[in-house]
Amino acid sequence: MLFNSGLFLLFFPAVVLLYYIIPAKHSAARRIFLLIASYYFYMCWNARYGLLLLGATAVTYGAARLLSSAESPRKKKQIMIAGLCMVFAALAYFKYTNFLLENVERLLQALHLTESVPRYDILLPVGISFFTFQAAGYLIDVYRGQTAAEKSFVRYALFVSFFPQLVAGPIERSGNLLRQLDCRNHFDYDRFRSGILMMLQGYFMKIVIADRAAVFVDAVFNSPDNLAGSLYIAAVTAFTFQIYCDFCGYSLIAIGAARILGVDLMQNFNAPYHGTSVRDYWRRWHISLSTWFRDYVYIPLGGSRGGKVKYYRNLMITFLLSGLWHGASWNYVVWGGLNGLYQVLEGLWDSAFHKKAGQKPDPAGIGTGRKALGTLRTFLAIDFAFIFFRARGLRDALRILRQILFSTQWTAISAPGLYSYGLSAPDWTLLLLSLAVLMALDSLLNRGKNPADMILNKPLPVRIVLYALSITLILLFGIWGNAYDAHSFIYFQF
Amino acid sequence: MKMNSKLKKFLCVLAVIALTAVNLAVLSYALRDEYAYTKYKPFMEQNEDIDVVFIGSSRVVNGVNPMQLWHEYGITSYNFGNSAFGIENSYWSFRLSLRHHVPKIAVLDVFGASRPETDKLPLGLAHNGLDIYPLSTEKVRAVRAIYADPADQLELLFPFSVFHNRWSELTLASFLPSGKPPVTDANGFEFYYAYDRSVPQPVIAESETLDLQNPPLGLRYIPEFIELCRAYGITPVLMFLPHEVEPERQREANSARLIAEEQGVVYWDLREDGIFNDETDSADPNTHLNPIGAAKVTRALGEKLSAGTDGIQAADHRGDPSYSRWDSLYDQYRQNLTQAIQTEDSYERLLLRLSDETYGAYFQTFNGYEPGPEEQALLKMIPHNYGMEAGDESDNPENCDLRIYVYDTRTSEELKVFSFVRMSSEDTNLLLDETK
Repeated sequence: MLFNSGLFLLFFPAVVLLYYIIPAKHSAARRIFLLIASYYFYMCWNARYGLLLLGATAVTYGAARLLSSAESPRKKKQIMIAGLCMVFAALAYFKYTNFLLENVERLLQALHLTESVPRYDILLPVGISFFTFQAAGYLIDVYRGQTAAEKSFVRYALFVSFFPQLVAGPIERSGNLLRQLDCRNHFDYDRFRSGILMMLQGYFMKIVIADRAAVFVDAVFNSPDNLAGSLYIAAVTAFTFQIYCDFCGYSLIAIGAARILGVDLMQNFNAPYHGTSVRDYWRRWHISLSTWFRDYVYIPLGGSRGGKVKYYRNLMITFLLSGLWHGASWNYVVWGGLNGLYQVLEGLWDSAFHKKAGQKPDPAGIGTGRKALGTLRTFLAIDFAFIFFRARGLRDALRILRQILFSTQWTAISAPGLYSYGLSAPDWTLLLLSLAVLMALDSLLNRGKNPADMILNKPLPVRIVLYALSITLILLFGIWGNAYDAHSFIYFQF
Repeated sequence: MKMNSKLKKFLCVLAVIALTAVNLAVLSYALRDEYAYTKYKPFMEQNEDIDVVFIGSSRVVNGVNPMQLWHEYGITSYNFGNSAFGIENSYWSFRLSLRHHVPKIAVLDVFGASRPETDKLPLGLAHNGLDIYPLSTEKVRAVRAIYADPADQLELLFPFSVFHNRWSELTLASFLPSGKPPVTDANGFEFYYAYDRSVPQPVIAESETLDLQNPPLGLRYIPEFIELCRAYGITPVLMFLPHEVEPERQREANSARLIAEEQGVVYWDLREDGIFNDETDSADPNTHLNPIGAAKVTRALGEKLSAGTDGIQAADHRGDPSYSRWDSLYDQYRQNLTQAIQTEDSYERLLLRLSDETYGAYFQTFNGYEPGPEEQALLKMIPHNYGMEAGDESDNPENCDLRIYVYDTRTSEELKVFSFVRMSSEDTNLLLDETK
């Protein structure tokens, strides 16, 4: 079930209503209800996926229970590794089997040993990477003693399948989410209000900006022709905003929906394009995944301990794996590698610069001009890396780069030629205005202010008008309805 | 105090929902599909004085002219046809209309009864017959009966879900009633100004029908239509409009005849009246009627209805003061026709417009111009109201090839003088001399 589908707009109010109709003292009943609702939400895509979700839940639940009763560290480690192997094996099978076979085929072809290796018709279950990582994180937390093994299977199953964040995150930690699934909360009007505001901002980002930008991005990137390089530059820039609005929009809807149900999910984005360095950007972008990789990959590898070389190695490994997490294709690996490399280069630059200047970097002390320059430089670097992310493969990315470098043709992105790629002049105007609004909101967020407060502090009649107007404008300008195919959220495919 | 606070919050939520609903209602009005509203608006607004409705596909839209029926027979009628509508679509659209207006006679064209169930009416066209009706349980039933896909159902129940993508076309006029120009020529009827011969079709035996044991969807809806009419006290009539139709269409007509006999209702197959002439009456091959064909069909129906053929009688209301608004409607219709003639820029369409007997034309040819074969065919359509002669070359300052004086046959008032020139001396295509 998509957040931007009519079904969700019926499903969610019904879930909220029924949840609060069940008395808070019957918290177990509430958990069972939410669990059923979450499985229904997930199984709307494919009922069989429910078994996969249940399997991942049962394996990690059982492994954690065994861990808690095991006494020797060796046995604990064996249980954890066995549990992780089982959940990651499912992920590997569904996501990486054909990628592996494709590369084996290339290798064998290069050695003239075979012409082709058969592939399997495997459909990637929605959100498998998200719930697998969430369940795996829990198991590691239990192993480390950071979380007690959950005794209630229902509560744990709800932790893995909690529908607002099930298919595209935020990837929650057991320490935060499990304890909140107590389900004894009463309806809280303030939480309801702020949750709705977050959902509205999410819908604005998704259906007004991301899906509108997608029309142009898809038209350019999916074109079989070699288009002018400037069009690819415009398209990848549009994609940079599309993916942000798509994913951040999803996260906001998820966080808002959870908040209405009395659960605080972790923040997933924090004005990422205001980052003054790639390192800073990754502290703001997909925070739940970045911190997952930090805690479960980067730090166990040794983190920044053990000298510069090891630090850079660990950084590169983490980001290459992050790339592979996003998709079973080399272009995602290159994208992840580029993001790692940027940070290595930033580290080298900082080392060289600080040695000369004899001072430590202090972002707060950087002047506005240097901050702006850093933001611009970071944006361009991220933008460039997204060419590999959005292209249909590594070869396609290289073809696009060739067009950008050797056939730029700047006139191609002027009117009216630009309007022949799906977006009319009014659409472009609306898109740019919407982005301006979004950047203003992000700017507030970057300065530590909550944009929602600006509305919540207004007098009641003004608030009522603003709420109604926001909903109306989102419905009017959004890309939704039967005339369009509802765009899936980009991160579902991961 | 606590209750007050809760009540206040509840009222706030209600206020937001209400204000949003008002906003959406206003926007829905401004963005709505013009066709459906302007086609049915007169029907929805008229008092209980429409005696006959004609139901069916675009063949009905282009085939039966309610204004001609009023003018020549005093019959009050409405053309309920809709492009590409199958009988199931027509049935539901008609059924919804009965909440607003119940006619005395409902005439259903059975063309399209053989359409397979999988061949659904395109959604864009479905809006034409459904959007005018407000959301109701009956409308939900109608939409669910026609479309299985929930997304399609949602679109038809909430047209804003699709028409909101027209936001860039919004102007101030979109919000005003005056910003809605009429799209039909008169009470749902639309002239089809085109001319084309049909592809000759084999004539099949009357005994050849569709599969009546396992009838297609459209055929199944014919008894439903009859039952619906009877439930509302309406006299149902089945008909088949004349044209050179394919064998499958002939089977539809034959099947409808059997159903009519079984159900004890009247069936008028207008092909049997011998009025259709493919040389002059066809707008396109094997389907639609042009204005000449429409005039003939309308007249045939008028004759039947006014004469009480097969016991189906519609009253002549001309001269009845309580029906005087129909005279106003007709005057408006005439004004629109005259205006359309005066602004016509296509020679072919002008000839088709002149097929109305209340308009006459006098042709003067110059520079040795002679009508080509296609033009001769078109002129055959209006033998009653035109004259042609070679003009005096000295009276041709604009050096045109053909001059047409158009006048109103009832008042002899000259309406417009057209000057046409040939594209080249070899070419017989005529272009309007825009300088005149």
